[in-house]
Amino acid sequence: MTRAILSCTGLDKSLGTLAREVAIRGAEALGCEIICPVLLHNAPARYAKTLAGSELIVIDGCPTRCATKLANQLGAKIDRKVLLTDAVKASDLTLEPSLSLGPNGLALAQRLVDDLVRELTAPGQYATGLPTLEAPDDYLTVTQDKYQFRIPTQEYAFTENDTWVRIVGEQAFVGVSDYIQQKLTDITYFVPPASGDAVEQFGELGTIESAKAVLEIIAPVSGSVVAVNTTLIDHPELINEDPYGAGWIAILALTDYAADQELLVDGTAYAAVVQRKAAEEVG
Amino acid sequence: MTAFDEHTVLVIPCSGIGKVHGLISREATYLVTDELAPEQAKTQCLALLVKGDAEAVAAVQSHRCITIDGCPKACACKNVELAGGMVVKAVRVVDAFKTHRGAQPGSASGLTNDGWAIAREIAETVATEVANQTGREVAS
Amino acid sequence: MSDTVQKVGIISCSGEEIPEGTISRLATRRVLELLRPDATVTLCLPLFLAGNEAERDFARTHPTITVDGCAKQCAKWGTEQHSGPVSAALVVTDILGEPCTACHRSSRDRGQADKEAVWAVAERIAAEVDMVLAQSMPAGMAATATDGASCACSSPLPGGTITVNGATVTIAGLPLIFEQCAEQGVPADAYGRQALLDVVKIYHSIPSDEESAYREAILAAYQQFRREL
Repeated sequence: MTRAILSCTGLDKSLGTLAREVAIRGAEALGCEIICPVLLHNAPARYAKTLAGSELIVIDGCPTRCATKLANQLGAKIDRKVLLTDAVKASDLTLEPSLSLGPNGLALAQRLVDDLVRELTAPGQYATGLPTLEAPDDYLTVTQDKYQFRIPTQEYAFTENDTWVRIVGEQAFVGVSDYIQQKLTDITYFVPPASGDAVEQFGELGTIESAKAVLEIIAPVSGSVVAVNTTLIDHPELINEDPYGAGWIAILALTDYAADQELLVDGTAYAAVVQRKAAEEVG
Repeated sequence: MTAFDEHTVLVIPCSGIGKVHGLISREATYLVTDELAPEQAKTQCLALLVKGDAEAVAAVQSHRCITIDGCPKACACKNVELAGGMVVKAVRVVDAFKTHRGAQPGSASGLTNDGWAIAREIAETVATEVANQTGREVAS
Repeated sequence: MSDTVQKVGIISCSGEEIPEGTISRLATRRVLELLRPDATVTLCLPLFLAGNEAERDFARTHPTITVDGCAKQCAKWGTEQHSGPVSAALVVTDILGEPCTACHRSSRDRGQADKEAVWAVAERIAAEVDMVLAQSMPAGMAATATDGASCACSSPLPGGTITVNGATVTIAGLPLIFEQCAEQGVPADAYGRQALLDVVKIYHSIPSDEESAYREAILAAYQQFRREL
């Protein structure tokens, strides 16, 4: 699988210069093509083959997200998005305000590229991008006042901590329930578990945050993390929009599912849990 | 096609009552219309627009609009566009939260200092856009 | 409506242009949080108008009070359009007796006049909630939606029956719905059947996969109604 990098140009901001530097270093490190956003805008046919056959990494310097918008306008599938403002804010280095990168800027660029390369080449990383999980078709609905909480009837097992596991082939997808995403309201942060980490059943599997609360995600099963839904880092709202499908949190390699199952409940039993909680917490 | 009023931009919040995001959208709007750009920006009742009030519909069709929505449901942006308004910028309060990690903004009934800080930040972004659209400086 | 009224929905207009919109909003929140926290649910008008079915369903199946800032009554209009008749429709300017010239749109500027206006409106909303709850029928005498619902004044509405896929379905208020359609000139033929279905759907929940059968059944009943006029 080949990759291509599309970056914003941001000529009037230091973040734009940083984006360009990350794109250049990232392309060298990953051995992939760089797409010029101006040429892409003016002559999209020039990159048609590249976009059709490559995993696209988009790098934006600021929340205006010009590169993402350009890709979306052209209908290009984005496999990985990088927004530099969040990364810079989280860093201990302060980006110099000048339009040329100073020592901090260059160091930041290298760190960002190292993180990107590590993530894209980690064991268990899917070469073709993240797997998708189709949301189920059938649900039970628990109603409390105006709130309706959906629980899949098949294939999902739950903990009383509002997390679920679904076995698909040899993979165990885990996530949080519709009840908990509604209770949190708009989720703004996702702190993922680290790929490769071992986790016990009922151990911590990252956190999600909203304006209301921070929730520790409780692992429904024991295993090791083979993949993380990194899309949620830039788009935590997917957990709100599709908690049983696109909002999956991680994929685990199971260690003892037979034992874990004894402490899990099916959808019907979980619906009773939700009914009780909703009456206490919402009603 | 209705000619635009080049001098005034409509700023329309969702005012969602269930979450603090709706209150922030509302207060950010008032910061723009009452403090930062009182000569260039005014607001419009969203419910009146959805009701099909002729004056409200005519207003959004003859002014550039900036919407401030609390959450991704984007009620203000969607309804202004449905009414034939041109949304030149669609702001979402939930996006502002992504740069205010750990903030305790308050509730749907009242904002804390954190909440007011977020409202002001959004208001300044909107006011800058108002200045861009009208070609006239706004208060900073 | 549900057999036993346990919660009352409140929809506030939250109109942005005038202070009374802010008062309607804050008074509603005061009722929800302080005055009647166990008896009320607030419904979000923007979401409601944008098509959120959970909000609309609640208003269909529970008594709902609207609180509007001014006489344009957008919240009342929206609720009637998408869910059905309201149990009470309050207007802030009516409650206060006049527009509140000393009040403010933003809570930054809130003063004593704003607080007093909010309290007065909130007390009135709470009183309406109490009246609605007091009028709810005892479970044993409850009218279900299929037997004949009660309207906001608690008088039973006459139901009408249609035959859908061989089954008899009672729709509350059907004769009144047909009267309204006849007055509006809805034709009793193929050209009118969608309009008839759309009006019935405002007051009666119809599963989407049964709409086609309901459409034909409602038309047949309407044709019979028109013949008997």
